[in-house]
Amino acid sequence: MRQADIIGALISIFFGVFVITQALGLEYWWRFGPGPGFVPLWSGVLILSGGVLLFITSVRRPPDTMEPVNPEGRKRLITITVLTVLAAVAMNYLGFGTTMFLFMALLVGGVGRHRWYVTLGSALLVSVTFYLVFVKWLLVPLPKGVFGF
Amino acid sequence: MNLKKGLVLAFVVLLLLGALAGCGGQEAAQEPEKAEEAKGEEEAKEPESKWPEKTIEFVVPWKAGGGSDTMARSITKAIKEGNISPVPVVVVNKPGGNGQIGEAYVINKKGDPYTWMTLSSGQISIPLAGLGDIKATDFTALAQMAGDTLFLVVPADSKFNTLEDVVKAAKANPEGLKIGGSGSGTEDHIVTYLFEKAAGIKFNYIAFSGGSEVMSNLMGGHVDLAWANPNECLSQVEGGLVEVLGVTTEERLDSTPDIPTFRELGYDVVFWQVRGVHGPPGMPKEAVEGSIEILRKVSESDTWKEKYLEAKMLTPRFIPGDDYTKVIKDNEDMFREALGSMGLLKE
Amino acid sequence: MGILQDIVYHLGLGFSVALTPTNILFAAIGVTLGTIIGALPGIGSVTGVAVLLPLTFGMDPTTAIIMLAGIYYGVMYGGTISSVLINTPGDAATVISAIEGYPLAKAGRAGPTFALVALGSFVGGTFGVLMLSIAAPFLAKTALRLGPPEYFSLMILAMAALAGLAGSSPIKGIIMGGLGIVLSTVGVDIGHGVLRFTYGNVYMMNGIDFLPVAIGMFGMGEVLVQMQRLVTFELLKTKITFRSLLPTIQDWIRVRWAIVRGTLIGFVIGVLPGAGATIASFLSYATESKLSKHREEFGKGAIEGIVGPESANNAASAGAMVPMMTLGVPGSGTTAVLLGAFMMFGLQPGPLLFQNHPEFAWGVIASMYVGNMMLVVLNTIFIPTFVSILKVPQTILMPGILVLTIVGAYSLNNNMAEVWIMIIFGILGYFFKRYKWPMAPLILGLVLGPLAEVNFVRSLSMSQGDFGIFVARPISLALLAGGLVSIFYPLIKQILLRGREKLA
Repeated sequence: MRQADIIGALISIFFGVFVITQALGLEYWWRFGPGPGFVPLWSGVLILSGGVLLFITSVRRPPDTMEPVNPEGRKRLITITVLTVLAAVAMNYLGFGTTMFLFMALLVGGVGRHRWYVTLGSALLVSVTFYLVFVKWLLVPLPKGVFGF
Repeated sequence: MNLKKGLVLAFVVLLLLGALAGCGGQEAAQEPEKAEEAKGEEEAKEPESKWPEKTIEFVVPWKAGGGSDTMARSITKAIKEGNISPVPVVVVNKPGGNGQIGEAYVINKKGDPYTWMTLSSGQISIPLAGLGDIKATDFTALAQMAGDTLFLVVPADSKFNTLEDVVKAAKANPEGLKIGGSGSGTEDHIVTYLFEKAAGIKFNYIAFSGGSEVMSNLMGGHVDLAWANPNECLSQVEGGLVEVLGVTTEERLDSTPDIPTFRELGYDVVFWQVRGVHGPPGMPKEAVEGSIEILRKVSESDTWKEKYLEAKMLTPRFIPGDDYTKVIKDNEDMFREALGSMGLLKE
Repeated sequence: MGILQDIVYHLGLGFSVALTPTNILFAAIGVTLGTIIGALPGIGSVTGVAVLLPLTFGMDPTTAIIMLAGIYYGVMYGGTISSVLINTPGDAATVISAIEGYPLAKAGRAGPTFALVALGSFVGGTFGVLMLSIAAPFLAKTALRLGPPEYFSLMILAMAALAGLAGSSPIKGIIMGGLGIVLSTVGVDIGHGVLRFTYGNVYMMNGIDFLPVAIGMFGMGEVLVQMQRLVTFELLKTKITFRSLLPTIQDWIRVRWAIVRGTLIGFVIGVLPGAGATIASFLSYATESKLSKHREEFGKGAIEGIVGPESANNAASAGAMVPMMTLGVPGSGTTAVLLGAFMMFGLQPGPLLFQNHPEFAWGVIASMYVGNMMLVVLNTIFIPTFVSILKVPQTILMPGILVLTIVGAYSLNNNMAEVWIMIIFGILGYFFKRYKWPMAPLILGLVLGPLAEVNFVRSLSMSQGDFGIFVARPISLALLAGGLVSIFYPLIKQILLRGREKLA
């Protein structure tokens, strides 16, 4: 946790400095009051000073250990994240219904390792239900793919 | 099969499918175009136009429930009730980024005969004020459907009863009178400038986020004056909560014959807000003509006149095609000049 | 005729309209649709009412508005369901409910939570309608007296009250709050009419809406955490008995003041044309976190921390009808759409509505009493159904939630941009959660920041640069003083306690 906090503090410092430099490019004071740069500048200062404080307090703390992430869990985590990103990309080409069917099937079958009929059933149920509710009922213009849904 | 292998396989399958569909999608998209071309040739022989034969997507670059959305839905309602179009017209909201997200979507449909988009004056001023890159003149102008105007309103208990009172007070106290409007560099801001210029005065313009916020701050006495579209303040006027000092049209409105115009009181402030329908750049000629024909029938329908124009206190103004292109161009020039003088022009 | 007889007469008229079989039926349809729409992330009350508006074409105006209003306040009930069960806020006003609600569900207490929330919502909603029926014009006029300086001070009060919520690490809370404010400045700056941090990107111009951020951080972030650990909820092992779904006597006692406070806060904030149900729920949460006897439980499943805000958002949704119906000024996105619906039926909301169309105005108000009754019944009898969602194996439920977060984010603006924001904050949410960075301050900065800024700029513009405007106006001064008190409340309390000890 100590190590993570130090890294977090460094990221905050970096981000704070970035925000401040960007905010300096905007006008700080306007005709009668704060200009567009006022709030960004001070929130940058807030982030930067928070980062510095966190850095100081964390460095002073004795080293500790965190509950480790088991390798299986990490693999699942990365898989799901990558699949979600892929699904968002594929949605424009495959269409919402098809993508979500595949996405569910891969997650339930691949990651969850359920039997094929559970996988197929849940993937169908979820994609069809959401398709009917969002596209057919609420008329959300979700991307249509080559199959038309 | 272990988990890892399964997943790798899954990725490959998904990617392949994605790629396949990508190509497929393009083909599918191209096919109608080819068909279109073929048809175009056929039509050269046949006098009768084949447009339309697909659903028209009517893009509203603003949120559901707003002014542009209401217009779009009123158009589709009139089309449905009057059986005006042989194909359905479906409203799609693509809000965000000051209308720029929806506009970018339509720009990307260059040459598409089946896309319409709503346009209001804000979409003309936004790129000029540096809040976007896409200009109103980038689109194919189909038709202006209605004109909206602005009232200068004061609370009922205001010490101002006429425009003359306002001008006198403003001269005595430059920048002392607070005038409320929606946004900075917007139509309300521009018309404030026009009034200032015409009367040789200066106000303290306070920008609010929307029409209803302007009205509540006016009624609460937080600003002295405010701009409002007729339909934004009608109920408050009728209920005796606010009074209208002037309207920015050339002549008095038929619906409010008692309200004087700025012009007749000696201030040359004329301002119309446009509400129209546009197509993507390079929209085919037959689609433009067909669309204008549909929109003309809409503008002549009772549904449109009663349920939209009258209910929203808009002025009927149907201006199709090239004349409408000119309206947009003139508006843009006027906005550019005003924003330039105000120091807000950021093209 | 006295005021009391007046009210009784008007309500009598209203109920004679609201209790016709058709109107009862459509009120029921409205509240049911509202509950479903509320439970779906992304589709909020604005979109829900706007999209379902065409269904009412051709209906009798009163019936149509009864149904649409039903959707509006039904959403406030429904949003809780997804916040509590899957940590994915269904509606903006229920974002805060996820913070306490989800830990409660994980502890197997979803049932009692729903029961108490339904009760709180009912009290809040009914009180709101009651005030709407007896004092609407007066309240609306009073609310107008709050201008930009008061809204600024109100936001400062809210931020001050919530500053203590950072949990174990106040420093991290400050950083997250700053981050939220910075993110809120992306896009068009209304006060100045300029673009900030958009780097020429159209999608950045739209700014960063807090809903995809909340759906990502809470919803997707939690899915990632759960899927990484893959430990099942305790609830799954214990059998759900009917008794376990009911709140205990202690629960009732514990939340009673939270309901009262939430109702009052919610209604007052709701009536203000510039605030709304989301702000109301935040303020109620802040109040409970300061006044609760179980402050240490906040963030880990303090039941008053969800029942209060839920009472508040229902009271606020009734409160928002006050300025809309009496002045014709909508205070929120949804009431703006409702106002549009009124006008589509040729009814002009505003000072003359009650004079010109009494049977319509009072009919709609009376139907809101009826609708709230239906909602409390609906949301109580279906508790076992809601809770049974948790029986779905996690490896199926979690992917399903992911699909829901994607669709939800997309349907906010019918655009992929929000889906990407959701995914980015989903991934960030995982890290925030793992390394204990509190997410609530980020959301608060994102929601309250812009309102504070725009009203700050506006106030100073009104006073031509004089900062005195914030203290010269009594309501603004009182709110600022309240902010100071809430920052120093722990200190004051200690001094008071010490004083008492000395006396004793």
